[in-house]
Amino acid sequence: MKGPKFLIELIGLFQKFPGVGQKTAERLAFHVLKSPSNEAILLAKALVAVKEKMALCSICNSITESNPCLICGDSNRDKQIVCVVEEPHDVHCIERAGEYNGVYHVLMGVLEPLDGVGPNELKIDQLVDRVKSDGIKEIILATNPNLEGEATAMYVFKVLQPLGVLVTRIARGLPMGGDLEYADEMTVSKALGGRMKM
Amino acid sequence: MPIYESHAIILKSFKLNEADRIVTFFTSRYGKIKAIAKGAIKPKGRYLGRLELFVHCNMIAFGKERMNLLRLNSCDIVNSFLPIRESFDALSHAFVAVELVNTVQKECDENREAYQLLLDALIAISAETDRNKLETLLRIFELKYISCMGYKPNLHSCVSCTGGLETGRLGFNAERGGVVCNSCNKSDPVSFLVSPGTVRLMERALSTPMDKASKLVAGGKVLSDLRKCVNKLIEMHVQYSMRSEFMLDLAKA
Repeated sequence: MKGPKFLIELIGLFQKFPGVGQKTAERLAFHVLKSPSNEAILLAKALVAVKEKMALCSICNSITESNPCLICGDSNRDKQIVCVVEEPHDVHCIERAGEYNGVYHVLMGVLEPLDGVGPNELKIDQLVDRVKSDGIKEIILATNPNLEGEATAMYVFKVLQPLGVLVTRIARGLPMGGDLEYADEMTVSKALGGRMKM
Repeated sequence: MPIYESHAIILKSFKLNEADRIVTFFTSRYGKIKAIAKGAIKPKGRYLGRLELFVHCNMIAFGKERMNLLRLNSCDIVNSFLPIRESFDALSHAFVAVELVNTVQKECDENREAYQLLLDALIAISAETDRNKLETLLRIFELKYISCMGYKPNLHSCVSCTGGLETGRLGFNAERGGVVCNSCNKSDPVSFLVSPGTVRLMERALSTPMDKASKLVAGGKVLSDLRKCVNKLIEMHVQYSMRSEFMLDLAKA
């Protein structure tokens, strides 16, 4: 691509973002170019700060700027309930719902047998240590309801079962605003299996 | 633009970007093909839950001839093998079976026998709960599958001296592709000892249809010999060590 060197470089860098193609990268780069200088400087500072000041919480592995993270350090949170998720951004998804008052444990991935990703690559041992030492009463398995997520949930359950802790799985079934007509057999079966009294 | 319509088993499915997936189907009519499923990851998308591994489905895709990647148009579930998804033991064994087929099968190489074999194996695995039987089923499937792909081991005569197999201690040499007699086994550094029961089980496995294979029983020694023979044959012919084998160890732990 021909053009001013710095602009081309910026387009190239935006293109590395997930889901961003060349057109979108060009739009973003021109947006930065048109925006006031202070906005561009704020963006640059935020990018540097995210890389330099953010780290993983030593307790739950979620992304934080203080160690332990705000959730682990919050005395109002119920530390006896731990929600197990796949990735740090899953913590934000659950927090957004505003319904959960326990703490988290991020596994940093899932079992991916076809790609050779086993339990040693995940933070399962750390979860077992937490259950043994922190007096945890309930573990909520909130891995994604796909095959890898289910396999990971079953394996974590298998590992935690002998420790006597209550292990629960998030409900699976139809999404809000969804349509029965388009639901697959597995989803309908799970939705019926997990039905609740009104 | 040709339309590809076939029954298929999903061998692999991975995220391409924020909304789309690339799915590898093992179809009965066209062999292994890959298709892009647009909008498969959207929470209310029409493919949600349909493009999971092991799903037996009826798929329609289209694309230009000799194109590596087709575009998926529809995918209706025939059998999602729910019992496999709900048992870690069954899931572990099914992963290994699917990985073998995905590794060995060439794209667009129609093989109805191999397709039926995998389908029957998944049906058998989903109906089984006993761990020993699951492993026996998996090893029988692997043996039958590599035989179907042209790597059938010779179990009737010594692969070294071509003589008959006397009863007693026998060896197995994957490089030569079969069983060696007692006298050849002594001087063969590659072969390893196998029990006559293992050779008999392999013979019976090869002559029994996959949907009847759950009736074949293997004890501890025979099963460990069978595992060794099949793994050596796969390593030898496919030159690939199965990544998902660790799942079997996790299931046993």
